[in-house]
Amino acid sequence: MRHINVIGLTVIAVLLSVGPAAGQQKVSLADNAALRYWAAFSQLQDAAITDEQAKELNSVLDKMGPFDISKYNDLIQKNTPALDIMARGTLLPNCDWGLDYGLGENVPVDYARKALALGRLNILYTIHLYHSGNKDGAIGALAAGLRFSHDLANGGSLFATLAAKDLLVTHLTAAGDALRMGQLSAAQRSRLQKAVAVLGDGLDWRAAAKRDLDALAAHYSGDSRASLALSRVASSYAAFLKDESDLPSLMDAINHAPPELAQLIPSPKRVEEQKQELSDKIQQTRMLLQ
Amino acid sequence: MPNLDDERFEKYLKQFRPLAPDRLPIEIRLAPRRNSALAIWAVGATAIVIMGVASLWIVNHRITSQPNHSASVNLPTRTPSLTMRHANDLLVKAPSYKAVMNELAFPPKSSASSNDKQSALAVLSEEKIKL
Repeated sequence: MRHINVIGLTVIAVLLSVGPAAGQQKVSLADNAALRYWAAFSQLQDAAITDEQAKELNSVLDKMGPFDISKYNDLIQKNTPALDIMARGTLLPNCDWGLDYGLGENVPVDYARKALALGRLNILYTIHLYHSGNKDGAIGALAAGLRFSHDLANGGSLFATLAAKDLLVTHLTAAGDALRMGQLSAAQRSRLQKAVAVLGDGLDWRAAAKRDLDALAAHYSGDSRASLALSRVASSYAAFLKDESDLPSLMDAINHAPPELAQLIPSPKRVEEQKQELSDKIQQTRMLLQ
Repeated sequence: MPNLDDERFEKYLKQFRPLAPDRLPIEIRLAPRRNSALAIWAVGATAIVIMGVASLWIVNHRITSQPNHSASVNLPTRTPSLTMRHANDLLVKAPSYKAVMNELAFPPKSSASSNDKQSALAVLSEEKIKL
């Protein structure tokens, strides 16, 4: 009887360990949203715009004020294939940018800059679809843009996270405007609701800050004093991003670090502001969606 | 008694006469080698002439087509590849988000643009990070 119990437990243990492994193998390496996003970047088409149009674009992306979208029809049409590829990529559950942090501070982060351009184009595309009467398309583009913006920060440094936050806030502002206009159907509201729900609490700021500080640690590996100071800053930074009341401890760690190191530490106050702004925006949008 | 078969066979054999041997085929082989060497030289010389003419044509074409370029839209060159160090330097040192934005989005224009147009993608790539 005892032997039977042992065999039974062993079989259950083996099944439990094999189950998730088999599930993981089912996810193909090609089903990586980041690869689709790179394909979308490669399809980005540039267009010449005047300084005035550039100012207008920035203003629109900042405040979502009224403007003549028809002036950008050519830019939008040229980039629709890239935006479609991006939107299809957002349907994949996994996004791994494959960043090689073994390169230390030389990790290329150009993808974040390209993502910023693509994400902003997506906002113009959303506005274009909305004003041409295709509200389903506009909400679909917004939902895809939210997912894409969130994916941008996956495994990324502080820079990528800040770019992701910037795109998320812009997309959420556009979603808020669409909701305030009150012309969305129940299905469209539901789609937006799901897209915002996926965002969770926002972005993983602690992991992003840690990656930046780890890259600095590699740079100062030969300097024991700086390494020790950096180690203290890193743990204080992680504690601060969990609980902002730990700011004095972090500032103390930064102030006691060698000056050449201290000046490379991302400003805790500014990082916290960015984190808070995104958090507030998500909450506002959720309230509008209720 | 003579053997008639032998005599007939001898007579048959006597019909054959020794022939002068042919010349060795070495000379025959030498001729094509010379021809192929000549062909290689000819091909090489032709290639050199073609390459020379082509490069002259390209140079002339560039020179003559330069004035036409000034009439077209001259988009500013994109900024070089961005690394984590460069991005972090910008984030830390920039007094404002606008400064980071300008650094990344408006790289120095190569040659003075003939018009006031700029890259739409550069504008859309502008950062809004207030670090």
